[in-house]
Amino acid sequence: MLTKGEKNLLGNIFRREKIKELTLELTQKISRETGLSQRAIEYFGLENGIVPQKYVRNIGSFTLAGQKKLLTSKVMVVGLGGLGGYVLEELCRAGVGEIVGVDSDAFDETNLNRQLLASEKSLGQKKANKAKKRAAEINQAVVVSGFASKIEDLPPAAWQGVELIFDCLDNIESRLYLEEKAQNLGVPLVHGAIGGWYGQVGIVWPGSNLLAKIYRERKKGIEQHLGNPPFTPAVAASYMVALGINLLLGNLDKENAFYFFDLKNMEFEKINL
Amino acid sequence: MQIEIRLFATFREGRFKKEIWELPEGTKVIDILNRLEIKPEEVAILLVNGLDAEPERILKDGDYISLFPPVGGG
Repeated sequence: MLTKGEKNLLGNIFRREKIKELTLELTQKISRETGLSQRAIEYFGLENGIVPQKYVRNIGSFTLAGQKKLLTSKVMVVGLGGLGGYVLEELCRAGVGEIVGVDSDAFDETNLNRQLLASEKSLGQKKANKAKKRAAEINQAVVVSGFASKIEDLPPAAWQGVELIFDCLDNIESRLYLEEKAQNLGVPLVHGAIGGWYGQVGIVWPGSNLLAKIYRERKKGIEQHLGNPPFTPAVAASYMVALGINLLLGNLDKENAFYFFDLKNMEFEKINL
Repeated sequence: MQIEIRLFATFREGRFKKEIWELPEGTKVIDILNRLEIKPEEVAILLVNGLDAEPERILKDGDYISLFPPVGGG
């Protein structure tokens, strides 16, 4: 993330300013002075035992090394609706360094009941553009690119360097496309799907063909008649981010971890597939 | 033989959450699906004793089956 020269430069500034605490203001100031990104400065801080203030409450759950790993990680969020909005939000706050957001849709009124990025003001706006704006409001250190494109039409460059993909799609056909694409790239998928009070989350390891197995020739799920109430996407998204961060931090065994939850009866089932 | 049937999400509607049925030897999962009036194509995840299984699976005394419907929204 940093060259030797950049490290020396930052080292001199940190010594000169006697930096013990890395605030947002200080990070911005150093960024202006050196032309280095805020992410690089945060990375340097972590490398030298100084946790940027914005990540202080992450530590204890993440180690400094873990936070540093997240800051250098690149992930993709496919679908920026119910699941994707919350996933993006939590990834930005966690300090996952690079996020590629993909969604071809614009907000409409039926999104308002559950999609974090949807607001009355944002109706008609592309979800990918709103995602970029939201990310910039939360954490300027995170590099977010937004593609207002269908996953099937994404340019090859968009996939470059992605080490984990969040499947936040809302239709089965595209999910199966994504599973195949991720398999070809050798990248694991964090899958999430919701319908009514229910949802499922899990890791799809390359080659497991888990989604093809579950969905088969099916086109629709129970969401078709149960709708998607406000609370289910937030729960599913949080499970997804927890799984994804655990995976990035190397805390997950390479088993097929798949879970089904029921918010009507407050149940949680681990499923071995 | 006794088989425990665990239903999840919408499969519980008008049915039950968990029941133990007395069934003849040689009963297959598909026989239970038929009695429940659940078509195999309605089932996304079918487990016998917590592990992935097929509708043609022949059950043994004490087995439990779990049925989950498809969820695809986002």
